[in-house]
Amino acid sequence: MNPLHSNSAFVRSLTRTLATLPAYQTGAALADAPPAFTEVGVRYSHYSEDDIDASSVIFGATSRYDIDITQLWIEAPVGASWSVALDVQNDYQTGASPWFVGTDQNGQPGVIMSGASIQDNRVEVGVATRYFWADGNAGLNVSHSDEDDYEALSMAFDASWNTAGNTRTWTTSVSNSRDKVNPTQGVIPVFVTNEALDTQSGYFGVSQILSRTAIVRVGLNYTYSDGYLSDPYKLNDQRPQSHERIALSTGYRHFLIDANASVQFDYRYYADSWGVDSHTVELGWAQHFERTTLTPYFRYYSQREADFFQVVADLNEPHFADDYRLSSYGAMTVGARWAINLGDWTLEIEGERYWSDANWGLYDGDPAPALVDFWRGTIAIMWRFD
Amino acid sequence: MLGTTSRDEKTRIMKRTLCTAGILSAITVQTSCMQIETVEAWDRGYLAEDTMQWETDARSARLKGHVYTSKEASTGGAGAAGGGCGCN
Amino acid sequence: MGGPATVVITPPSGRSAQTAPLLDKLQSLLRTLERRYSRYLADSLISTINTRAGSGDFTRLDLESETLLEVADQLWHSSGGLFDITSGVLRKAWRFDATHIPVDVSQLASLQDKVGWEKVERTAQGIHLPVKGMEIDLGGLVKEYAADCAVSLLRDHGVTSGLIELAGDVATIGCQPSGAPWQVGIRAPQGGDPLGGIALSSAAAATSGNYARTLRFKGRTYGHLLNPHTGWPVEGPTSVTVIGENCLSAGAVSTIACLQSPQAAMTWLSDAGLPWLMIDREAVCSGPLAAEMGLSLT
Repeated sequence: MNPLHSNSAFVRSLTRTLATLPAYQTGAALADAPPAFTEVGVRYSHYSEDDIDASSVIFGATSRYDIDITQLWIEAPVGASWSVALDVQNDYQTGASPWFVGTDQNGQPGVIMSGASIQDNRVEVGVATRYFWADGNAGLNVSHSDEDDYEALSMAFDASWNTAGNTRTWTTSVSNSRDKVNPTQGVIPVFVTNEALDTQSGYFGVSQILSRTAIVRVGLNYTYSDGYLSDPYKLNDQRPQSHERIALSTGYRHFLIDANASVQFDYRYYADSWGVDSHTVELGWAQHFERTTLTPYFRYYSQREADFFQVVADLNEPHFADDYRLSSYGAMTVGARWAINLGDWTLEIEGERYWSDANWGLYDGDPAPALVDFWRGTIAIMWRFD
Repeated sequence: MLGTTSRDEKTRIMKRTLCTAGILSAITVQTSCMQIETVEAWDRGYLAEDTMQWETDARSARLKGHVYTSKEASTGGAGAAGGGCGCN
Repeated sequence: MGGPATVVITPPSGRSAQTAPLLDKLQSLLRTLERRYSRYLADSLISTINTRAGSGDFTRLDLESETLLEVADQLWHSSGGLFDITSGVLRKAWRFDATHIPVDVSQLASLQDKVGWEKVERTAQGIHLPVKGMEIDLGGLVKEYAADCAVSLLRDHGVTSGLIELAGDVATIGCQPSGAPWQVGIRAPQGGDPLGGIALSSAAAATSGNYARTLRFKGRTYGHLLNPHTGWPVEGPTSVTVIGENCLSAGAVSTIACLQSPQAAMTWLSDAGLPWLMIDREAVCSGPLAAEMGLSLT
């Protein structure tokens, strides 16, 4: 960390006051530049799904997924215009999941869970490099993900540049991913081997400074996948071989000087060629204190079911799926993030709780019995040095 | 894609794309008319706060996105889709 | 500003012919600041404000003066009222240019009425000192501001290696032409050889202290910094040096440190988050810079 970059409230507010004077305005501040320090970090998250309601289960265990996610990274400047980063992520997953939805003796839909708990470990390694010039920056990212039954190789390129006296930033990115699916015969019976799918995605967006305390952005994302897109671990799952998706997103940030806090708003509209539509709204209030920032946040999500979704799959249709993730439902998340600044070190603790319910959505549709509730806890430590 | 998409799907995609383009144009027009104040380069202190960035932390945002993408039917947001995984 | 100045610059390559005019510009900048903020010049902005004290006339301010007064206000808040640019009148009860003359303690009481930044009126019309005889003095802040202005001027003219020193405060641009950082000596309070050196590269070092002008009274040695609440000189550290991105920030931290007891100053300095060196009244050195400079900490 640059020893002259004090984080004390006193020096920071003094710097802000002086910023109005020409003597304290350096041209260098206008240029895009790589980070001034090297950052090393580790983040650990635990994700845990609630047990499924026993009344919704026809057969099988009620416990669902537990996932441990560990992320390690290092990011460093190289010379005056470049930066490089290495990211390693490990996901360790255990638990049971819905295998298919059937009907019980009363004709009510119920879930047949996968036999016993799976144990799956995934490792993802990514390298990225970024180039900075006066008015923007561009990055290239290559990553490889590996687990027993799935392998993916992806590449992404992004660029952003400033115009209108640096008040407007344009961003674009493209990415490509080649995935191979080779489901493991084990706890859950599978009927496919060696499948592949390709995904291409593009994004274009613009961000505009509105005032010294407000900024807004809007963007459009298009994604196209083709290949084997079904879920091999679900008995009744036969999805189309192509999938087109668009997402329109907008965001707003406003700093409230008197409250010493930021208001964060994000909205996304999503629609795809499978008939799914969704709305996502996220709201956050980031409250600054002397050395910490506390950000409670709320998220509302509502999706419409896919065209070929049925609570109990109809195997006569050309495409069918009983996956609750393709049903109509609404979900809410309540969470908070606490960041603590300790000089060169930063500690972050975050926790959130997610509930989903077929009645909370904006769209009609038959309720899937396997909707999930979960909580996630995360702790991260970062170290920055010169 | 062209070979496997049904006519209904094509119509729906077309309708959706036009709807999206409409919304996008509306937002663009509205944004241009929005009150935009001149902010000097040296007056960007508040905008530079970490809580005023689009993502407080890129990796943390990626993690959150990863969780939601595997549990919901929607993907995408403010960046191109990243790497794949067998997330179920 | 009543102090010595040293400027060392390496002219931008191929432009050595521009050195002389550049130094002229620098001199004229410093003179302009002096004309505007010196309390010794009758027609300066500060003198105008001071003359109008108690008259009801507000003095309009430009962006620069407004900001410098805003800085003074922030320093007053952050120091619990110890940093107070209205406290200068208290010096009338004390004589710092001679020894053995007792202080006129009875004068202190009447002077206290004329002290207090909280009394100063600041509105959109400008600034007004409500009590006749009140004075503000921006001397300390302007000296450091001048060093930062000088650095900015030199940078605008393409200088990438330079050093400017104004009465003990140092601001640097880049490194020495050789590529090594600028070496700045920290003087010992009692004079003589410098205590040690610190390396600066595009950084500023400000030193505040009670050593430059002292007074002996009833057997004790006092510095010239006065406590606005009591009217008596502060029993603070002998000297504090702080390194920062610019002179004004470093100087703000070091000045407020010197207004407190050495114990309180240590807490203030470590909270401020910038590299610091403190020499207390027993000549004991402390702070992260002390270790860097190889000074013994006993």
